[in-house]
Amino acid sequence: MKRPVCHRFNSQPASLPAEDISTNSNGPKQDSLFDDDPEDLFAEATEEVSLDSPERDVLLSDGPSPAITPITPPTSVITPRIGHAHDDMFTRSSFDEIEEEEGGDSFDIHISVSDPEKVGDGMNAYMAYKVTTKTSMSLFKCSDFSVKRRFSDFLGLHSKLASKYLHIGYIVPPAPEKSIVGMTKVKVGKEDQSSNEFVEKRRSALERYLMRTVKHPILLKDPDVLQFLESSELPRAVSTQALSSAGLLRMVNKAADAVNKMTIKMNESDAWFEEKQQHFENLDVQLRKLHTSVESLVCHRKELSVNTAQFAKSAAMLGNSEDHTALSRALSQLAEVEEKIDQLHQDQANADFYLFSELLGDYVRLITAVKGVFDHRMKTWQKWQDSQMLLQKKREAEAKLQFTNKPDKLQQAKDEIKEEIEELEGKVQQGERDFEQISKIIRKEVSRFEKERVKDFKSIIIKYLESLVQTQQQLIKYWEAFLPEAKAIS
Amino acid sequence: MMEEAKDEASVLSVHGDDIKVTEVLKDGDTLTFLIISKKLSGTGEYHVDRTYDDFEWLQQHLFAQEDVPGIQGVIFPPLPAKPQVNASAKTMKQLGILGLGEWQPYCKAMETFLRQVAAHSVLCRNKAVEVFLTSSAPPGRQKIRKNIFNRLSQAVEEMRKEGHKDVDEFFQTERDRNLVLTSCTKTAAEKFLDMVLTEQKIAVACGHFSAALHLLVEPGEDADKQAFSRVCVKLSEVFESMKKNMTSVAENNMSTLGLGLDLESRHQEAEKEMLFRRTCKLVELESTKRNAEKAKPVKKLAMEEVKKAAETEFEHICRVAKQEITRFEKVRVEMLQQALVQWCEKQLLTAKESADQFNKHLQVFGGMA
Repeated sequence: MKRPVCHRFNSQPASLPAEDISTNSNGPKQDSLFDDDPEDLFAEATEEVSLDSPERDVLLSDGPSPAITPITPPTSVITPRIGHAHDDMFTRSSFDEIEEEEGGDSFDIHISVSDPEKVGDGMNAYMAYKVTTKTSMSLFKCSDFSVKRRFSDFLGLHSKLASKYLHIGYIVPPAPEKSIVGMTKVKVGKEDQSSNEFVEKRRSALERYLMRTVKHPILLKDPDVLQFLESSELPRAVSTQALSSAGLLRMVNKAADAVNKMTIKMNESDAWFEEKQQHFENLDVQLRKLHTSVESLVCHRKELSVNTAQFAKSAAMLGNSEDHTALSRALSQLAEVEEKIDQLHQDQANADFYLFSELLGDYVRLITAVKGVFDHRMKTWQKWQDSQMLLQKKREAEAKLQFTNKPDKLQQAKDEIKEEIEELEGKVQQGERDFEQISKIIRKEVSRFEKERVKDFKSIIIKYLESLVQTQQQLIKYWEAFLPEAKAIS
Repeated sequence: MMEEAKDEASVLSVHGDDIKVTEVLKDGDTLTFLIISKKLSGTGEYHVDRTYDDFEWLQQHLFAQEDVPGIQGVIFPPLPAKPQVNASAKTMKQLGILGLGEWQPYCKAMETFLRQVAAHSVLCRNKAVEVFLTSSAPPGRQKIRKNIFNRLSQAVEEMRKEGHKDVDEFFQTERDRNLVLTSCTKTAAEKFLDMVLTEQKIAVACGHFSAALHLLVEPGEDADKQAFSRVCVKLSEVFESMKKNMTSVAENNMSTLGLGLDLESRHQEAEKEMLFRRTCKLVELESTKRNAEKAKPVKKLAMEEVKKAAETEFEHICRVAKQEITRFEKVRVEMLQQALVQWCEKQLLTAKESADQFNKHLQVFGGMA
């Protein structure tokens, strides 16, 4: 198999030597990215996140923020494009380039999450899942391989991706929800139906999460994603509490509130963004309604299963009490048919849930991430405006300098302010570039989202219809088998 | 207004097996049924309107035939309970599947009642039946004096007679069997009803989901938006089909096996009533025997007379009861078979139709660009 040069990196500890890409850049805070500080920033992190906590920066920062665990920076940082006018990380569509250069491979990757296995005992126990990747893409070392991962590993992966990509406009798929109740049951060792259902629900959610992530052309090539899929050992993600899906949602809402409170009156010169934002608001509301509706359907379906089982029992009892032989036999057959139908109802309830309910839930959560990138754009715009205002002030101050009555200090003051103005001019330019960049990326991302949405829904609906057809065909078999029994009564 | 029908013997002038209850009109709590019967001679029909109270009038007349020997041994065709607006929980339980507010099953149940009365060799001779089916004017609405057939009026003390040991093995066996079957059938009918109610809930939920999907349809020329809107519209149609399917399944259940179980349950209750009446007579008979034995010579003759009368009546009842039980067994097995066969056939048809429908949807989605 032809293997082009791969830009992959193995994970390194946080103290990667910082390559100075640009001296004028106001882009990513390179220093903090490769900070040697071993202190766990999230040591005090709890589920409830205050507005001023460091987690907020994940969403509101203007650059990649320090992540919880050592992360590998996006590829373009390591391999700077030499010979271009602006060497800033985000001035050119460096990510586009990654997409285009390595576009030789068509998308062919399938990830499955399976074999949940309880590791350990008591409250320290956890579930380990087998993550199997099957692919023909040259991005990977092998074509069929597996690793063992636990839930916090998935959360860790998501937190890394979120910290790297959300603030520049990429819609990073959210990780599955944490569940204290669900996990406690599993830890305590309750081997009952509800804890089995919980594990299956989680397994399915993890699988969908990974597939969504790798479907993103940029994320697929991220070194952290590749490491997650391939590496046999993964550094433990600590303090993943704060960045669970629910935590993120809370933060987005708080960030959104914060943004609103700042009363950003953004001159939306681009109607596209205004329209899209409104559109996503509506979509959010409608999807939540639909989700509730499906949950109610699942509930009724399970109820029907219970009712059917009870009727089957009563029919069996009736058959046993019946003296008339043929009638008795028919009633017993009836009981058996109803038991089989009960199983069909259970299968259908699972289809209702795992196909539709989870699909809608996933999209509700995905839209949270979409709203997040829109908010980041606003923040980026605000930063640009702030720089502009500051520049304006400095220019005014410069003009006023002429009237200072300290001629000996005048030249020094003039030089200082000139330097500051130059710096600010740079910042303003960078701010504008960042804003244009994030706007551009969001447009692409929204377009990709809308395409994927159609594919996603169609594929789920087809699976669902297949389950519906299957159910009816089974019913036909059962009824056809029962009819002669009923006719034979007399 | 018709003169009050005397309890004379008469011959029914219509085809008993072809009586139809075709419609019901609701006016508050009053229900009026349209009943059509075919004349025995010629091709004419009788069309009459009867309220629920008229049905009760008929039933009371049938109960009141004290001059017919052994009448207490008859298993009376059971009349469905009266449906009410804002029925109490107790009434709803009594009504069972007939309380769902679906008028077709209810009309069918009333129809079955009339057909069973007309088919009964003793009961059909009561003039009230002819009057009920053929008279253009509604029958008299005067309340008939209460009789022992009204279970509700029976004193609680009578209940303990239910367990009284029988002198006849045939009847003891029948009583034991009936006791078990009554309770089993009632339970089966209740569980079946629970299933139907949930099926209806699912149909409603599918309808809601189908409607809500239309809210996702987005205007605009954008190709992806249009594609998504198309998907939502088609999915809405899928859920509409699911709703239709569930609705059919529930209707099939109600109109065949649901009705069948309900009728069987009420029938078993009717047999139970008859057996209880006979047991009461047995207790009475044993009491007269004891009285006759213990009687002082002065009263002895009178007591013997009473004893003889009781014996005769009891014999009549037992004779009629045996016939009734045999007939009952045959009829109920036939009825249940018919219910089961119809049920199976209808559900099979619905399943085939639904499979077709879902397959069509599958084609549409498969072919969608």
